[in-house]
Amino acid sequence: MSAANAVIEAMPADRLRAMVGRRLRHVVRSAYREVPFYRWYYDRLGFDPDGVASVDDLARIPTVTKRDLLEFQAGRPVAGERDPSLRQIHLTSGTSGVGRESHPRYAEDLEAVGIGGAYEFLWAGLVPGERLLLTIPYSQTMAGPHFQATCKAAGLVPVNAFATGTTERVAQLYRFACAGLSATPSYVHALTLEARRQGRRPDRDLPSFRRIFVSGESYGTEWAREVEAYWGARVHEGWGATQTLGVVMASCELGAVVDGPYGPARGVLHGLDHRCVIEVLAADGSPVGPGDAGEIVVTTLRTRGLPSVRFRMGDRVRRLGTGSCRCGRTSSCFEAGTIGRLDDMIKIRGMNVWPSSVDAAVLQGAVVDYRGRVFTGGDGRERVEVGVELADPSAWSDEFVTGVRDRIKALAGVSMDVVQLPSGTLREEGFKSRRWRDERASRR
Amino acid sequence: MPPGGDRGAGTAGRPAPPPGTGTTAVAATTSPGVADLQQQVTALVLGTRSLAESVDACGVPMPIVALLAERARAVVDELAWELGVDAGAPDGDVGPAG
Repeated sequence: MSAANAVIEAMPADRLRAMVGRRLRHVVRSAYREVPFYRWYYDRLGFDPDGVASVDDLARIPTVTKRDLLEFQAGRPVAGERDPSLRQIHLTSGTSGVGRESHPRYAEDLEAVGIGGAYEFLWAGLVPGERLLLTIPYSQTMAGPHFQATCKAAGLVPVNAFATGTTERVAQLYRFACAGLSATPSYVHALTLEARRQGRRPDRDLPSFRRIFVSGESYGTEWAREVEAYWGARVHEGWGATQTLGVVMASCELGAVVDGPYGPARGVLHGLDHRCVIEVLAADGSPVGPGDAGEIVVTTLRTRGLPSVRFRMGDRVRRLGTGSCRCGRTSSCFEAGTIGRLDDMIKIRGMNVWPSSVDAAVLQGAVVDYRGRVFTGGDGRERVEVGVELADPSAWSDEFVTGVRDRIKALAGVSMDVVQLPSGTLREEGFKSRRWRDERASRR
Repeated sequence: MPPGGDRGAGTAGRPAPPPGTGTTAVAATTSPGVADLQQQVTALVLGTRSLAESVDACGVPMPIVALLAERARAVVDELAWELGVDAGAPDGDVGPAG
């Protein structure tokens, strides 16, 4: 095991639980006392935070949703009136489509924000002084400050490639002899296609490069293995959000994709249980068991400005049993590569279809990207069409189409038509790709 | 060997990682050395709190110093947490958590 902090990672479970419980009590009480949103929210619900004594009382605490925060913040100044202790304001990205709430940050938050990501990078084996290419845009969201703080906390040198294009970013990997890069899976795919177009062979001509850190989207295991082979690097994953003050789950030294009995298999994301209480709840609010999927609900233990106390993330993850990973860590475990939005699920012909399953079937080889469309055909029946753009349009063939259709059917359980999109149809999206549209007559 | 598995760290020409960034997991929580560290960081927490209060009470205009003291306190609180010491206990006590 490659420890980033053996004091925490080897802490006996009962000590960790007591540590977390004591902190939870403090978080809930100080949130009510100091954070206007929680005073408003708990008063409205008649909830008394003094009743929270330990982790055993977690389920008694009301959950919070994005809509609750947005309701409170509507009509109020962003992050409240002038506060001399305020140091940053982070807006959420808005990719959920519901709205963008603001998160005030104080000095304590700015010191805490990079720690989780440092665990991810150090677990992956990067060492201080190595260079990491950053691609996720620097704006009013937490992403920019988060990645800078994470590099600082891990002793890494950030190569800030926000303001440049894909061609130059590939060049910067070489110019700065980067050890790794951080991007969404969609963007890693775009970088890979560009590097191939440039004739690069990073597995041979970029010896410093060895780690790819993905976040923000699900991805297929075969895609990940293709990327690993091309770049000569291992894929790792971290999960976190504005509401969690950065990464709170990350893959270990084994990576996000491991060798399974039948080929590449999902790796494990380890919870940073001393920094965030991560629940996975079924639709009825009960905790799911090992092997089952549910909604991620988070309670941050190191946030001062706007802590998340049982915040429902709207993301879905599969919980694994404690100790599921061969690394031997005893923290909470979650399946890597499959975290997706709960509201991304599409019902097609009575089947629950997760776009991530179509991603895994389509996004391989020379596929640039795809767009999915569910619509009502002329005969009134539901039709599903997947439009695919290839890096080399001349590679389109009946064999290719059959292969994609068969994989979609196997992974998503639904038959879909596969059509070709002309080159350049799909705009390069550097952040999270939104690939699906539902145009069924019944949705109007 | 997984891709990128043995590239980089430890190869000839690469500087050794700083102390504390090693790769051996031990039963560190109960190590006497860790207990010493926890005592040291507890003293640091109390020291940075005291410093911040003193700067506020000093009466000399020095916002740059005050802001540095604020950051020092925040860093030390995080350092303490990562060593298993809770500097934010509601009763003001600082000590090994759990």
